[in-house]
Amino acid sequence: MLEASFLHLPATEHVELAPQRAIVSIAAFKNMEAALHEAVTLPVTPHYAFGEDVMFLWSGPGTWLAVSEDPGLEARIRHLANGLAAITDQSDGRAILRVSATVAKLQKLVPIDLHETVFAENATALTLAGHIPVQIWRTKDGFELCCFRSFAESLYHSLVEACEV
Amino acid sequence: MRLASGGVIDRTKILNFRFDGKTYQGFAGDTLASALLANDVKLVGRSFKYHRPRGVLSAGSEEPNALVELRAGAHREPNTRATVAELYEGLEARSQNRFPSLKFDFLAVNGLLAPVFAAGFYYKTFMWPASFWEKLYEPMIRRAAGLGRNAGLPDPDVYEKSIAFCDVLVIGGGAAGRAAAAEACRAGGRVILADENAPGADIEGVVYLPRSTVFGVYDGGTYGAVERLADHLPAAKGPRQRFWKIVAKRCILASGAIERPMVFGNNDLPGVMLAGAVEKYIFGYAVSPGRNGVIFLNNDDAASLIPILNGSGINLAGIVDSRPKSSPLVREAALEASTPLFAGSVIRQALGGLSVAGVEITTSRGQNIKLDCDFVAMSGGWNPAVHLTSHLDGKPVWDEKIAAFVPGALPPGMEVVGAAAGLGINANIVPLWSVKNAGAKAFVDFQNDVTAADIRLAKQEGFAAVEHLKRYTTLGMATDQGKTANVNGLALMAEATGKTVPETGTTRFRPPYTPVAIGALAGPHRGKNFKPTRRTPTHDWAAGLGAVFVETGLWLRAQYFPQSGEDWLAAASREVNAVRNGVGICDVTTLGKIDIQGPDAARFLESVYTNSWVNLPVGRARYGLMLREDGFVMDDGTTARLADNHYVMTTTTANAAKVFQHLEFCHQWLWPELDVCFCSVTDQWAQIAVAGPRARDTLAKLVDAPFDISNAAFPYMAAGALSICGGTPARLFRLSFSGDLAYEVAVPARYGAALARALMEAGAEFGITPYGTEALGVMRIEKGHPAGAELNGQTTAHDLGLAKLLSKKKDFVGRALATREALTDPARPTLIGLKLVNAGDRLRAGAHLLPQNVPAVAANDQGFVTSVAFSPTLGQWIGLGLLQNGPARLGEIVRVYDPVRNGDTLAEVVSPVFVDPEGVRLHA
Amino acid sequence: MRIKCPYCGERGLEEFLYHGDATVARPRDGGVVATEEWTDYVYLRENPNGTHRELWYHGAGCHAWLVVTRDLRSHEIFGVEAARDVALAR
Repeated sequence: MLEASFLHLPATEHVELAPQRAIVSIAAFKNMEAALHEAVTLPVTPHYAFGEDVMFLWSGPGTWLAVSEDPGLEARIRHLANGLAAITDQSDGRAILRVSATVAKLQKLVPIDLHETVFAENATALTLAGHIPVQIWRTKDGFELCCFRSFAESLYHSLVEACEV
Repeated sequence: MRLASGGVIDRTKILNFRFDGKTYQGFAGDTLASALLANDVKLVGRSFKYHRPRGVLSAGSEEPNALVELRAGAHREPNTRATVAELYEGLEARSQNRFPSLKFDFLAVNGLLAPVFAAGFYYKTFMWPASFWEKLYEPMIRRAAGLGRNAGLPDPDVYEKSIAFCDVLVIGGGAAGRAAAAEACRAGGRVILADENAPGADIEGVVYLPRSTVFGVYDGGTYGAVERLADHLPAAKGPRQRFWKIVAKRCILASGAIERPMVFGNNDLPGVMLAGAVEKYIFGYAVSPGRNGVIFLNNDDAASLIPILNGSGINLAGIVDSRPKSSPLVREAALEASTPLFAGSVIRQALGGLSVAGVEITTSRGQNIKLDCDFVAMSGGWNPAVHLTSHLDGKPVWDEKIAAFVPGALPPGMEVVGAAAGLGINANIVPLWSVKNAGAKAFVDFQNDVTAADIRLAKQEGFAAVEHLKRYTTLGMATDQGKTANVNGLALMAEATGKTVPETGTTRFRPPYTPVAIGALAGPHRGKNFKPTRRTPTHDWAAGLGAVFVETGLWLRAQYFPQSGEDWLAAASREVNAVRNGVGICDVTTLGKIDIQGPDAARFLESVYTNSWVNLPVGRARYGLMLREDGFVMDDGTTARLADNHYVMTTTTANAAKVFQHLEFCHQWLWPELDVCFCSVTDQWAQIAVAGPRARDTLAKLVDAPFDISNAAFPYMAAGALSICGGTPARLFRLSFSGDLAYEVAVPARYGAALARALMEAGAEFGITPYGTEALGVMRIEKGHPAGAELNGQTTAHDLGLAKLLSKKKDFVGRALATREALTDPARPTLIGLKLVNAGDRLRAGAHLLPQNVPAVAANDQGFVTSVAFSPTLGQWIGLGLLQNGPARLGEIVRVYDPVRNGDTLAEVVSPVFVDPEGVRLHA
Repeated sequence: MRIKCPYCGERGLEEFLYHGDATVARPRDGGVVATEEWTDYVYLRENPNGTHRELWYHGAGCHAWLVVTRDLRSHEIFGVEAARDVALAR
């Protein structure tokens, strides 16, 4: 096997790279959404939900991201989806950064209302962080931001500048 | 002068500051203006056009006169209003627009030439000769006029940007604003209060932004504001300013009102000030502008100043009330203060040299009386600050009773309270727009030196419409945007034309309300952070080998890998030779990769590509051409079929996002019945091109058995999934951009760097060489492959020699308009190759192609050179170009004309495929 | 301007790309020849002094194409629909 190398971004007080996880994109085929929901519990609004050890995040109309520590995630999802959806591995295509700063600091980059009354736990959104498209969601300890892998270093630097002031 | 007591200043904190090189002292809580007045500094600037001596007029951001240069070096900021600059220890300020000094300014002679410099003079003078304009007149005018000097150095400060959401945004922290904010908070909901001034008391539950100016109202309940975090400090420790985008469901505008000057002769002398400002300086800063004052008013509001002056021990030489019988309120106040009251009278002109020394009054009976004084407090009434109400097309309306414009139609979600709504101002006002027979210049717009006479002149010359008045006289322009001038100006125009004020109307107010530093708009997005940088999975590996990188859109790509002493040309040539004679590797991850799945995937490809796809077998790739609906080429790429309903499309690097958007458009809007899904996998897969005669030999070492990459089993354009290096999942595509035997290997991005190292090791015995975008470009030019320079949005399939890819059997985006005669005309500039007649010459992209022996003029222009490269294979510069009727002119010698870079040479028109035209190497 | 994406909620203009007129329909004759109907579809546009229907792309969000009904003078937005739904209903 070729040696795997991952991004290395030193953790700061408020910003760190999340540990590598499996990420899979699920996109329902035409008229298959109802059947898909019977196989997997998928959020129909911009939220995320857990199914065993897998987090399912709404990621656009008829689209979801599945995130899990299980490296065999893609095969499991493919089996579950059983031809009802397009399954694409994104484990290397995306990077996830964890932020434990205040909402005020994040609002320097993210143009949507992150106030807890509006963006509560289990909420997720597809938006921007500065000039970088991201999917953001709220966790118990703060936020996670998911971007295309090649943007990760730039996103990291923007977040550090905004949060470590 | 400073009064012995009073003022909201901290007399225990003494601050030293310098103005025009001289040191003074003030207190914490002073503004620069209040501190200067406390030190009896009356002269603070020279006016824009006439260089007349000027002093502080107001106590707020509407100040037109006291514009100073603050700070030094790269931090130097011109046109800072001294009335809002908070004093700090060591503050350094300089007056502007004067030479050699404020007291003695050479250009004050402009005043003598006043008749020449009347309104609109630059439209009537400096006209002839026309050639003198650029070389003499304009530089002369620029030197003589102008407000302040820019630092000329990059802004060294740091700026922040942020967004804030709320239910109610209250603009203005005066009494009305604070009350509105407190109430909105009590009603529940998120409240933001923004106020221009230094911090006052907090209001519980309200997000309070002091030192913040809301400068603009935008669509969708969006507001722009700038918060000044450090302008009141000697140095900024963090960001200097913060730009806020505020999204509010409702807005309460409590911006107050701005006082109007009275228009009389020499009303611009230092010491002549707005009455409200005098009151503010006394109350707020314990500063009086002088010891012996005169009040000139036309309404009751300024009456409050009378007992204040009296109570502060300042002498009031007289009160001049232009209203015929004055008013009970003013009469009583005058009596209480034992001050002479001149009812039905006007100040005809102020008298003095560098500051006011007295006034000439014309009484109701026509008598002329002189009064000594060292300051004048004038009140022409108040204008509600309605600017923000009209940013979104709102029009203020004239309220005849208070002789002022009040808010009319409002932006959605906005309400107005307090003085800004016209409440509690201009009691018993009888407007006096100007004093007749002033006998000296009577100023309407102090910042732009526009007088009452200029307004009459504008009307005389036919510029009576209020928008023309502004542009012809410059009334209302520059940094104060006419805050103290506009209403007086248009009211005078109304008088001159015999119209009413509402008939005359106002000019439109636009954002920003006050100037906004460009740095605040940029925030953190400047320099390297202007846009994000995207790196490939092999970036560090390439950097370790000394690669020089080039920006391709947001990506950094290795451009060439110089070995000791090589320049870019030598490195690229060596890399090309290494590929053509052995093998090389190049990271091609950046080209867009789109995963396409679904029962209708093939039908979808048929619709977006010009050529045929339904018959592409599993395990094959095909070149695809994509047009815009107007028939011009949009992008090209290769798409591989990995399974029945599974394809991977590639695009050019530059167009990846645009193509993805196009596919979504075609799917969601044009053909929503098709069952197909897309997912960007550009970042998921690291992709490396392996090119050259020894490419197969190199790869064979990495491919896991039993996968067969022999020519028979894996021919040109084959594609498939496999495993390499003992179990690493991979995809292999036999594509060639270089024209040599070539493959592209894709692995999940985490293995990209390791793949590069493994390939280098496997190919070491064949002299494997990493190559960059420079060599990549040379080789594709040698093979005549169109790329970005040829896919410039103005070329068609016919132009590029790809007409055979336009299917005749099916509809596709661009099909219809691509058939237009003008797009298929062979006389169009069409792709050809260019080979220099003199091999030692240089070809440059952008040079024009003309026939020989005709004048080099546009009428004879027949095309241009699109791409050039030094071909080590041919040992000379070669190029691709677009030439009228190109393919029919092979063998012809054309002139390559490049006047901008002094190039003028001859080239032979040849086939664009310079190397291996039969494609033997490709199919090896 | 703020646009209420039916999937994501109200967002600022920076997340969207403007495409153009949503009232023009691609001719369904296969596009063999560049008829007047085709050139009109590609080049001719109304510029109404009032309400218009336009195509916008939520590029920095959910990637949905949207049909926005908007007053071109006041920028007031009266409705936002998923383009796919509008297209399927044609």
